[in-house]
Amino acid sequence: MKLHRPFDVVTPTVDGEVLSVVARADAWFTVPQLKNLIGNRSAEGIRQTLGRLAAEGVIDVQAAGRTSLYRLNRQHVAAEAIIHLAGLADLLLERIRNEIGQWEVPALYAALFGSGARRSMRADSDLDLFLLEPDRPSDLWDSQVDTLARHVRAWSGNDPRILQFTASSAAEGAGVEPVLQSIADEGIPLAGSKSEFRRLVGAR
Amino acid sequence: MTPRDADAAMAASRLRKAQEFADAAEIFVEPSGAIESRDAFVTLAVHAGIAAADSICIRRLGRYSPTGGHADSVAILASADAESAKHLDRLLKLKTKAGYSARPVTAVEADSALRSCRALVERAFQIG
Repeated sequence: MKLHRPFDVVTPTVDGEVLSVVARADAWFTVPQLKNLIGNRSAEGIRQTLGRLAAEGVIDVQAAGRTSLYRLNRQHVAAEAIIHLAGLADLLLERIRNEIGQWEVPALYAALFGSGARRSMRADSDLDLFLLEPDRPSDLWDSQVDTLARHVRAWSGNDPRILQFTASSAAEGAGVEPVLQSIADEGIPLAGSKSEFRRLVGAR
Repeated sequence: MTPRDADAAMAASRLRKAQEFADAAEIFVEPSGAIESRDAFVTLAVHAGIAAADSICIRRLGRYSPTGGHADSVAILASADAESAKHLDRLLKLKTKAGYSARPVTAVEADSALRSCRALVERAFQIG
């Protein structure tokens, strides 16, 4: 699964990209605005998709001078499913947060980083997860991490690549380990305090 | 005020500034959680929140509110991400008191600003 293109799990077409944008914001869009947000599709392709979706009743159309505005028809019976698909990335991260939040041996900090955080995933990309572990990890800790890895693979179809540092090794790596700076700068927090992590690795 | 169109580069720039302001605000947060220099802290937290909100709006809508006016900013953010709008609203309500009034921000208000600032900046990173 590509976190930034959730509709690709069901359709890799323009339809999915258009629906993803209109589902995530309760607003009217012009074709140029949609093209700007989608990025790699032609205005004509987007316009045709909007026409088709409007014919299905899923998209509302409103004239605005010489142009037209489009938005998701949130009263359509399909709207709930469309909004759910658009929010798959949030759902995945929520599941990961909930699982880590219930660990018996708590993670000091956890974050999604790499292509998942940078919105540059391919379907076969690994999901990069960072865990700040206690200074004396245990068999229970290892078991928790193994279970999480299994779940993430099942939930997303992506292989998790889990990077673990102890708090003391992260502090030693401050300013030396580029990956820690990357995690501090662009990581999406899954557990713990990002500001404390940034302080630990000297990111601020 | 009419929202202004903006691109991914602008969103990334606003997100960087959000983190910069948030880092500066966090300097006033003691390890115990107590917040010193509350008016300065809240002012920085507000700027972090506004920048984060701009990033969210640009990512979700392709546009943002350029003036930072309270009502416009909250309204446009609400259409992009409803939960974030509540946090921006809380921060903007403190902006005048912290930055321009003779009355100091209370500890409770500073705590509220800290939570909302962190929530907004984290949400902005999650949305991208």
